[in-house]
Amino acid sequence: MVGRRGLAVPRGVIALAAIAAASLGALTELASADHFHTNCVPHGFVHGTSTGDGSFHARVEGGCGNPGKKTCTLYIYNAPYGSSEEVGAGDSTTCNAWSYAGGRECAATARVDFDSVFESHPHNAHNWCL
Amino acid sequence: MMRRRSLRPLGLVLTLVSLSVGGAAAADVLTEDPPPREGADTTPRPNTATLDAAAVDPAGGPRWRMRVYESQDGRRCSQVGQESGDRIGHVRGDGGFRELQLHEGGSCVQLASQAASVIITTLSDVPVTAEVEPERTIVRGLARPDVAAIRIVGSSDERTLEPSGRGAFLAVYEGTLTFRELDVYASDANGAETKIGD
Repeated sequence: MVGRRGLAVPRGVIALAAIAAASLGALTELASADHFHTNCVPHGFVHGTSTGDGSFHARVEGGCGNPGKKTCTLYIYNAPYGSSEEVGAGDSTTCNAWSYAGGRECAATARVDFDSVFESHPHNAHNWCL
Repeated sequence: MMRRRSLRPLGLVLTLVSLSVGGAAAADVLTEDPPPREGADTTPRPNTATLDAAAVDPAGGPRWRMRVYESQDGRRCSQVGQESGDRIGHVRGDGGFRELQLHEGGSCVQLASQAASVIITTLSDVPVTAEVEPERTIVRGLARPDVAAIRIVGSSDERTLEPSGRGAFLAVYEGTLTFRELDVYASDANGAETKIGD
């Protein structure tokens, strides 16, 4: 027979541990989101001075022969932010849209496109919080 | 009779570890951490940044200005914003100013491989801010010294710009335009034109 003392860990502690573990898992996943990567050229979401000052960029570097137009557009809360930039085909210039009006950085997304190199796709902030 | 050993100390330890690590992760999300470094080095070489080409705002707002600098990897780069003293950034309707910091980098080009670069930036209202932001299209670029003029042809007007000593040129339009509505040409001293951009 196992006495009541054998149960040892109160349900409240178990629940708390489960919540903490789940939070840890979720937050770790958020913090390690793919905010910037290289697919022929480096591109994605670039934070400014810090990850929370409202200054951030959608950026695509030149390279890979610059065969197509580069487009960088910012979104916030999954809606267009109002800042976009484009660089024509054959031009090696960096495409770099800036968050001129600020906003909640952890809710921002950079949507980038490079014709003939990669399709349009989003990169969320490093500290994505939606 | 077997007695199960108490799991209470182990449970408490696990809980504390989980909470502390989870708390650290949460702090990372919620505070202003230094950002990770990404991509090519577009940060400026010391003492290479200068305010350069300027353009009036079409609705009489603060003047627009380019900043030109050399990057750590040897390219020529530019940023653009509205001017406030010796800074550039965004001037809000209430007079407040958001600075575009030099060290955040901008758009860089290797002019050895092309006569000129051109970038079209469009700004429009940001739904999550209280103010209504005016719509603007900014056409800017950098050109080699052998480019004598830049001609921008739009549906309603045509502008000819002379690049600065560092090759910078800048024009600002009301509304939002793209390469579909604007054609940009670079010409040499003999007037021979080359289309640049899309």
